[in-house]
Amino acid sequence: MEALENVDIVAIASFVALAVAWVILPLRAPIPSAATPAVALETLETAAA
Amino acid sequence: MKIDTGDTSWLLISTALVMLMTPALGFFYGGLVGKKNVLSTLTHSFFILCLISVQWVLWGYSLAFSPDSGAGLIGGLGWVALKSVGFDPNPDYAATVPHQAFMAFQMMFAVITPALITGSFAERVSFKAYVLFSLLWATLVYDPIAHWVWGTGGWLHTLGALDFAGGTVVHISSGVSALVAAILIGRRLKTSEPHDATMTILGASLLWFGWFGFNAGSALASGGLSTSAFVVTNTATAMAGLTWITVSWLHRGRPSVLGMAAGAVAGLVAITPASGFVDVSGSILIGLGAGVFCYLAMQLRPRLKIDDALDVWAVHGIGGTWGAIATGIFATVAINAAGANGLLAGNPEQLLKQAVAVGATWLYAAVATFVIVKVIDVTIGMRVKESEESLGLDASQHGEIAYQLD
Repeated sequence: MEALENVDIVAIASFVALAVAWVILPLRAPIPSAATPAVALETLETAAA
Repeated sequence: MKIDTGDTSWLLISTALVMLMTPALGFFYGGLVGKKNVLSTLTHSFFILCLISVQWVLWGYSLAFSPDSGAGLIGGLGWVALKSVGFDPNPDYAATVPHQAFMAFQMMFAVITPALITGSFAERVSFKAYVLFSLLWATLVYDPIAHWVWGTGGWLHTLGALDFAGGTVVHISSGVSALVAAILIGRRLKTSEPHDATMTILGASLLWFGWFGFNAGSALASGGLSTSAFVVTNTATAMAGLTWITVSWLHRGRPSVLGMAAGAVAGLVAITPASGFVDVSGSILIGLGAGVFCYLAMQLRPRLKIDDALDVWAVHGIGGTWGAIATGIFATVAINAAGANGLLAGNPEQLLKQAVAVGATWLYAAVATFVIVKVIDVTIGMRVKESEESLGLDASQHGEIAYQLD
């Protein structure tokens, strides 16, 4: 049963590790081709109007 | 034997929840295909809901759950057309609900399992071949494996393998069969990008909702065990969604929304066999493993050049395998006295039983699916013509199109 109690600790550590990753990971992938700068600009202009 | 109205209510509600999962699967898959194959993909789920609903009451339930024919491999024909399946409880399966309520609940499992496979051959299989495949597969693969694991006298049931809601019966069987079908049928002429991610997210959300019936309903009673199954199902699913989005962020550079949905489904798959036997911490690690293992399996697809179009093997085959093995690791009788302890509770033998169930299901599903696909291919052919595939299955098979937008 001690092994099952250790599972609690591993579960908490796993969740905390994920939370740390969300804070430190950079957003670095390219924007999809469908969302071109021209479309993005038009969207911004529409929103501003 | 007295009927418990609370248990019966919960089981009938769960039956309706599981029914919803099949059209939800259609939406999950439908968003992932190109826009000229949306209706055919939705139909792959909806038609099976009709087809297997009738097959099940006529002979499927009898083959899976009627008294064993002798070798632990298949039931008999004594319950064909629901003969002897009435409104009194059958204590072998559920002692407090009408036998027909149990039959109806199991029917929805039989419905969704072949529907899962259709994601592997989306966008290229003829409607006729799909119908024949689904009927043969349900009868020759699903019904026997359901008997092995859940039927009275089934050999894996007698062995003591644990499968609370269908890790082997539903997910390994469909995931492995999907892989074999994809290999035999071959690649699409041209792969598609997901045409509507919002449809896929909606489908995943409805799958999650329906899965409470799938897992918590498998307690076959309303009470502590169904509550535990409900909680661990939600927890593992959430953890798998969080894990997948994080792994994809690490690997691809951004948190993938479609990846989160796929991860949640992988978590639902993995917790399925374990949901009546593990506690909440075990479910977190099962969800974590599902997010990692299924993501890695999905990365194999382009490298192996196998066109399992919607990653059925990666999510259901690998997720189901991990869940079945994890049941042998994390199970504890503190959750379910009718179950067994797993490795971490001092019973390594349970892990071996789980491995036997996994191996047998992989082997039988692969061989039987190979034979079924080959027989259909040499008789009526599995694939549509190239011109029909280029036109799209919605128009070429059904004479309809999904969207008429100007």
